[in-house]
Amino acid sequence: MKIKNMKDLDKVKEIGMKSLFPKGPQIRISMSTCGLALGADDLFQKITREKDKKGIKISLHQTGCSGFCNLEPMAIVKLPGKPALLYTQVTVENVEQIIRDIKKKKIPQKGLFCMIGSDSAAAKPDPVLNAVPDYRDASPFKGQHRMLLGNCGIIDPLSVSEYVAMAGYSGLFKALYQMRPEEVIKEVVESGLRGRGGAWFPTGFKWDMASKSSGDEKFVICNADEGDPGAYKDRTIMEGNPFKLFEGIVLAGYAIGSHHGIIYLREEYHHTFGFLSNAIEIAKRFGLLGKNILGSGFNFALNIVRGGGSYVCGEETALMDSLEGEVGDPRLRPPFPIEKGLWARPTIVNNVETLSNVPLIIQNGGKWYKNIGTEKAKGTKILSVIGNVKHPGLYEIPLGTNLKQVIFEMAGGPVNGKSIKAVQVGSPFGTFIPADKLNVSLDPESLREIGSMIGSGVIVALDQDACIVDILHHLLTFFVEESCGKCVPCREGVSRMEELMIEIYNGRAGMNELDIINELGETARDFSLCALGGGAPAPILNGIKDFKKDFEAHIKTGKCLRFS
Amino acid sequence: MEKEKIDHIISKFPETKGNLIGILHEIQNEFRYLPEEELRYLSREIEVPMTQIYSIANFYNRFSLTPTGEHELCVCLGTACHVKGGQNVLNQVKKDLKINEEETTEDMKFTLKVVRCLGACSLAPAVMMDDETHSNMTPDLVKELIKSF
Repeated sequence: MKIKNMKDLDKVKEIGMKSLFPKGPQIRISMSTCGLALGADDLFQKITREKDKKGIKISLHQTGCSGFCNLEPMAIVKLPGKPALLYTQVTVENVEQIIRDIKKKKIPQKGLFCMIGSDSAAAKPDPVLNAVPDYRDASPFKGQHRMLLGNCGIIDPLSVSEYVAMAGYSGLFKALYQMRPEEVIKEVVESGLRGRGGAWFPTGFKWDMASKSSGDEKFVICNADEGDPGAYKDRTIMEGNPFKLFEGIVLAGYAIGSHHGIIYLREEYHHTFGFLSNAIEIAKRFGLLGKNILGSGFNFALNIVRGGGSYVCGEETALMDSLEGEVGDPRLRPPFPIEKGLWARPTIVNNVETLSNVPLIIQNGGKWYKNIGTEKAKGTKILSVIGNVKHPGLYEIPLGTNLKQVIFEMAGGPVNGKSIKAVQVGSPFGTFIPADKLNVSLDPESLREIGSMIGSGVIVALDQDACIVDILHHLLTFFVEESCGKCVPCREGVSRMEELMIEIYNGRAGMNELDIINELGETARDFSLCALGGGAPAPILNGIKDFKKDFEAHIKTGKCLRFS
Repeated sequence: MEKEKIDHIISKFPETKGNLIGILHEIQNEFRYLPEEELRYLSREIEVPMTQIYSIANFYNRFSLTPTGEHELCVCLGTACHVKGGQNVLNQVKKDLKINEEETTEDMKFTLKVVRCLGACSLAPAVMMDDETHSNMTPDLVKELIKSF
């Protein structure tokens, strides 16, 4: 059905509420890339077979990923009169018991992790649940502010009605019916939202300039070329709540006067491609994309283009080259994309996470949004905490949260009784912060002050066994592979840095090679055409400065601290 | 040359403007590489110079100008996988398949690729066999995985 007015939207909402809070028992299985990797598919089939065999009526749904892939496959079990319960690491072997329990109206025990929204459901007290925490008190969800990820892993990502039941599309409806495009931009400016792809450019400002650019055709590009090693927040949003992203894209289009959006998706995300294509078709059927969106008369077409497996294409001008069917070479600026972007038309390029914030801003107002975060950085940031911590995963935190708290409290600190040696914030371009300096606020300004950056939010924790030379060598190999080769400082400079690092790694270089690396790094940093060559030297230069011991070990003994 | 297949792929794209990479994706999927004769035909049909097609085929990791194996095994060496021992997994694969990165086994069964992040970082180290991601890999597990194909 097409949603054409408020009445239709309410009807869809009602269907969504019934589906989220059914009268009978319900099971939801998390089935995005990570869940599938851990056998969610077999689990789903086994449950289907088992419930049919036992002749018991259970509604079975799929969900996205909540960001803690190592706890997958996750399942949510909802029994009548009980709060929804989250189970982790559910296996095919558990299924028979779960179904038996549900048949007896008993709460399955194995793998029970936490309750979801225990206070919202009209729950009868159950002694079994006394010791079970609500998810807001259960690590690793504790301390998070999940306004972007909140639906991920809970709603069926391909169900428009469930998203609408979670207040989805109320922002777009409000904008299309009650706001002029400039009012939408005003709210986004007021909110203080800044680009989450890594550059932290004020989104409202970009939109304002693009709306004033003349041209009968404009483009909204959603940058989903999530290439930073360690990042998977955009994938999680796209697979967990795609309609929120679409809503943000359409709002951007309405704001700047564009009728055409493109999602530029990373090549490596095979599952996501099929999934999003499906979601777009569904959105069209509901009148949420295409002609006459929500019956308002506004038209907006959205399509997905897959990249070719090139990191530099995440850089916005290289991305546009790639969309034009060319090799992805960053362009000289000006002209900026807002004047001459894709096919020389005014274009805005925004990251998935940035665009997903927009529906919330329009729905609740810029004033509400700017209450979250620090003075200069508003809202939340999804961090991807990886490496040597107990609970690697996605943590959505208000900007300004303390790094130490994230590493030691939320992510559980190091494993096997080891200690943390360094943390790289904003990987791959961020610097390695030594363990004694982790008491820092996570926001672009505070991190810049200590010479680091927040980037797209990848945080790598290294324990005492890690060697900085080894990691820097690894990073340099990546930068060299992904340099497009257009400008000399990046193409030649970064390659020479890698060569020297290999020599140091193997104990074939002296301390003066470090000076040469420093000199090359400074040149690449100051004279490269885009952020790849300009950003690559930062972790290297700082690593040499802060972790001299690791370098000395390699230079003097030719041995890596990792293996000594 | 399989002209019909190329014609069919071109017909899926109503506009060729900007869809070159999409077309090459389809050809890569169909033939498991980009065959020269077919590319020359494509170049004439969509009026894009061969030099441009060649530069794209070379630039993007996805495309191969030589035939690839029946299965594509991608070992992830993103930062999370590197920290958790992805290199050991890669070494095991190289030993078992007796090939290096970007190479194909003699029997054309496997092609080995190294990628930087599959976006499955809390499951590190990860590998992807064709479209399926496999998590928490060890040298032994990857050995088993290869054997199962």
